[in-house]
Amino acid sequence: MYGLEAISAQNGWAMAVAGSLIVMAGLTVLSLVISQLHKIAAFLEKGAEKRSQKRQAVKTVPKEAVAPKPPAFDTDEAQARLKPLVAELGESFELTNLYELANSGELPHVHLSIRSLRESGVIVPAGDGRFVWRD
Amino acid sequence: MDLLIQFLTNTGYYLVDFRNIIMLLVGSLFLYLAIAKEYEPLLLLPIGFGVLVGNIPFFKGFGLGIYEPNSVLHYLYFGVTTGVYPSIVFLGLGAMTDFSSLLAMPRLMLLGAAAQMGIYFTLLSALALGFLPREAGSIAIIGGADGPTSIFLTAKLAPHLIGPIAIAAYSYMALIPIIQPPIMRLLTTKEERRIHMPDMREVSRTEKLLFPAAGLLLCCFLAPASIPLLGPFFFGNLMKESGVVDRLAQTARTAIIDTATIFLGFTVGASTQADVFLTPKAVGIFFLGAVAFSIATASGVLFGKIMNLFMKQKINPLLGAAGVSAVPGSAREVHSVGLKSDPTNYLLMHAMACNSSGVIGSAICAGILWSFLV
Amino acid sequence: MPVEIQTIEPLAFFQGLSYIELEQFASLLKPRSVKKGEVLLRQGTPAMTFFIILSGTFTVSLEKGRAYTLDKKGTVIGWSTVIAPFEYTGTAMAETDGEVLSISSNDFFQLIQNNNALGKKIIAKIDKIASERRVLSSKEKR
Repeated sequence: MYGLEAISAQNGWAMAVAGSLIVMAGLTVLSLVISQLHKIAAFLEKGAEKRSQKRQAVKTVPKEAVAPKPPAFDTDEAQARLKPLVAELGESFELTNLYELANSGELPHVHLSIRSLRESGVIVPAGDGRFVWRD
Repeated sequence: MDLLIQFLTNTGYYLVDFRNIIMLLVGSLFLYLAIAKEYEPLLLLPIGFGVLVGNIPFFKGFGLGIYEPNSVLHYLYFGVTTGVYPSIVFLGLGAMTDFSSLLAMPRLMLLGAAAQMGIYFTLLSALALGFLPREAGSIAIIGGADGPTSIFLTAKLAPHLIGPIAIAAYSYMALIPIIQPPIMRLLTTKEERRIHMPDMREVSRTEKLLFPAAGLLLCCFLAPASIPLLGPFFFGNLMKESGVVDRLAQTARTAIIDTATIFLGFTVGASTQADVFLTPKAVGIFFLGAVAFSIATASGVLFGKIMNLFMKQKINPLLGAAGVSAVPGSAREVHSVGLKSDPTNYLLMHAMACNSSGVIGSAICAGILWSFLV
Repeated sequence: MPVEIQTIEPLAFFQGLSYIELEQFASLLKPRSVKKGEVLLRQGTPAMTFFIILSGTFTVSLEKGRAYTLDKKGTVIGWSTVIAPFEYTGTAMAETDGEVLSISSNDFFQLIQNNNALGKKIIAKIDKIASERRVLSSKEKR
């Protein structure tokens, strides 16, 4: 059996029409949902912000219950540890030299500290592979 | 002496016939296209070499061939026949896709949906040519322009056609730069090709986290048969966007997808033997594959034009061609044709959005066809 | 050998990219040593790779006998990989031994697929350079 007869015998028209409609409808609904996602995201972010503000307003927890000190890639702490070393290296320096100096001083989380300072814009490139410290 | 004769009669030199030679030449052609021309090398090289391996004549019964139980190739082929490899590939695809462009402009998803009409047109054409319904469904999915999806559905509906369908699908994906541009130019005017798309807004991290959950639930509730593909796909995407399992996401989009691609391509190639490939059916499949890709491109472009009849802010109809889910090939072609019409018209990011929606659309269509034809 | 971020960060093309974006880019760049006389790309062939000069001097020969020299670190050769006409508009040859970084168009488009925000930044850079090229070529035509 060939041609239109074969299509009709095998229910081809129904499959094609139904299939087309289902995929179009499905992706249309998905696109409608996606178009509203930014509103849901904004609502969730607002809720999260309110919750974090509430937490900050709560009284400080007694000393015994304080969480352990965060790792030393906290930017402020990383700055305090690495600034003296940068002063030793001069106005501009290579990252590998800073890395070696920090390691020899047995500072914790050297790689993460340097990375966090780069991402926060404290250590910035000066060209030709050298970097400078920006307060 | 008898031993020597027995050995010689078991060699490939003794057992070879002209069909093996033809298939070895086909495999060599794929290798040439992959290496010398760099046409989709990640796919054509494993497939081409698999064709060579699968068509070396051997004495059946030694447990060597891909169709012989307990052979090494047969165990590797398990991932194809059960649909495991395509699922793993989709995991990696989800982990490497950024949906920001699609989230910023959700209406582009409709172009991805429209491009799937190529699948249903090809279904009708295959039935008209006398293919059985399950075979027709497997051939139709070539129009989705997604290799893993084609292999997945064919493994479920018509496993004896995996070889020719996979090779047709991947061959036409490699020929996208030849198939699509003429159709795009034929169906659009110069003014339409010059339509500039608006800049996309920034998409928040929360939106990118919500999308895989929303996509999974909406798509898989509609077509549960697409769970093996879309489940891993959205899982991979969530891993990528969550930022808390970077190592897993990185592995999914590199080592895991590469491993699955190697074994998928290699075993599909090895399964493509002369008695299945060198048949009138295979010729029909190749012809229908070209129809599928062409209709998919045309339907995407035409839908873009139809959308412009109703929308204040016009869409560049070229983007419809990117709804064909050959990622990133069709997006690149749309970008290329757009730039040739207007050197300041950069359509790449919008085309990527349509591409991504095409992947989802073709997986849904696979689920729909599987549920119709099971 | 993988390319280090410190190598590409100071280059003009990569200005404005975040650390993570530089990491993603660096993972796809391939360093390549080039010998004097070696042809990097030929006019008229499909543009499948673009190159970034790290060292060395390169001559790009165009049609009608025109040519220009590129030796500045960070200069990109092979823009046609990502903009029209998508085939090389000149032949680039190394005048001296040098080193370049290369990225294939497949890897480049995959990078954009993986990070749309990076894609937007790169498109903006490409647009700027392409418009400068258009201005230059229209001046030459006059």
